[in-house]
Amino acid sequence: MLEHTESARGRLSRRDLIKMAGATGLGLALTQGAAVRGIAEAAMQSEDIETIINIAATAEALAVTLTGAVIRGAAVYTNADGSKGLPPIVVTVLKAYQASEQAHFAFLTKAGAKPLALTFSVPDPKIATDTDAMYRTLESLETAFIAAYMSAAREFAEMQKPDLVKVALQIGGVECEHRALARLFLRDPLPHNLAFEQKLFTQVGEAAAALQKLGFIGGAGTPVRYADFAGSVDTAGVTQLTPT
Amino acid sequence: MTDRADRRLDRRGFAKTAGIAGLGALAVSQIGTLRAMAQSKESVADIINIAATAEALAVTLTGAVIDGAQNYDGGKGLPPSIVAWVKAIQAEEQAHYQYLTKAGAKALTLTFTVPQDLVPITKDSHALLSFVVSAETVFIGAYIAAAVEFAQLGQPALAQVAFQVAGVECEHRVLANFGMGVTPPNNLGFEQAPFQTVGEAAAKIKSLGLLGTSNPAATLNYTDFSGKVDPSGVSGLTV
Repeated sequence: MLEHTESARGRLSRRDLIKMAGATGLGLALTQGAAVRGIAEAAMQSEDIETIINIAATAEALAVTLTGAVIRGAAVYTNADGSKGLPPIVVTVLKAYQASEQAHFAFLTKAGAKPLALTFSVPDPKIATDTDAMYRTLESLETAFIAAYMSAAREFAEMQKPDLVKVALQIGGVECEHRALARLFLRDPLPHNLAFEQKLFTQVGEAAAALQKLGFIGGAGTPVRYADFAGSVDTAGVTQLTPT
Repeated sequence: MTDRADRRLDRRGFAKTAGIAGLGALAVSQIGTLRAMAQSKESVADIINIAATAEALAVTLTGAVIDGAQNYDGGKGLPPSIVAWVKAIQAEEQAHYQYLTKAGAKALTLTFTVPQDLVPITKDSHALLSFVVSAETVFIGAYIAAAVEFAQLGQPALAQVAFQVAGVECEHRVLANFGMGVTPPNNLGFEQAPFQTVGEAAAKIKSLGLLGTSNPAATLNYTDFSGKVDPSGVSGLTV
């Protein structure tokens, strides 16, 4: 997994994300699952609204699933100081993370989105047991999600869909908050280390391909299912669960 | 200065005084684009002038906080970690200001006021952080409105920049929440978007007394702080 020492530019680059997976390009074996094929196809085509929201819903389902797994296994984590169990504030923050991502998923699917996958994989077992590995994973994923919603906003603007631009920002902003909190928990003295959020992709499909290369979709790691966590989302303390 | 600011903050005044920033021409043969443009009440120049004003305000206020850090909480002073956070916030707002002015934006004013009812933000850390959350919420709403209007104006690249800035303001909001002990600090499923236009956000800032007020507790000039911005540790300083 990517070390928290950042690239020479002081931030996670697209190359960093791809390096994490050890992949070299967009070519994918046609024998892989339908979800992976769908992502590859989306990445190579100019995108329409349906493609964008399908990928976004997939990412949100991934986030609900991973955060749910972390919350459920909170007691087994080993912290940087050697203590066991995620601190209560971290569990509270992660529950709110999960609630927001579920709200995003609910909005997107209500709008007609069909996620490309609802079973995901955990590429590194340490994500499930080591607190810093988990935080670094969250930072990486949120960086990709932010860049994906940034691409979505621009693509929606190109399609002259201002209402969708608005929602892309309303969701993207929350993902930015998640990024900063992951860095805060990693004890970075400057959680908010960017003056402008990073543009990593020109299309949302590239973000989906990055998630696949990172091993979260169609990977060989431990499978985790959205359905096992979606029913236990706790929205306590979170408001604006629909965009207004 | 107050009268001028008042005139500028009238919506019709914005339309009269705003020049074209030269950020890209639109093909008049594109009917769809023209129709979309008609939905936007503000021009690109209107939007970036207001945004630049807000960023200059943020640079100024954070600069005053940094300069007076030792005075907070009865002389205890702001913790060094919070001072570091505020310095980075200032650097980021300054980067936004520089981007906007390089694109042709002209801030509507560079002189700001602290009204009497906001004096606590100059001496109490909790009041300060609460104000940061409120102010960033306005800025986030402003940039969401800007992105929508840029889309209506056929300017997708600018909509993307609005996203890149809004996201940073969101990070400021959640960290201020964390600093105050709000639980959870990430307390929104969707960022709030209360404004239809950036001008509405400017009116909100004006209503707080920050853009000129009678009997201010303090009058601050952007130029007194902009030369001391410390970008240490901050990257992505340009788009």
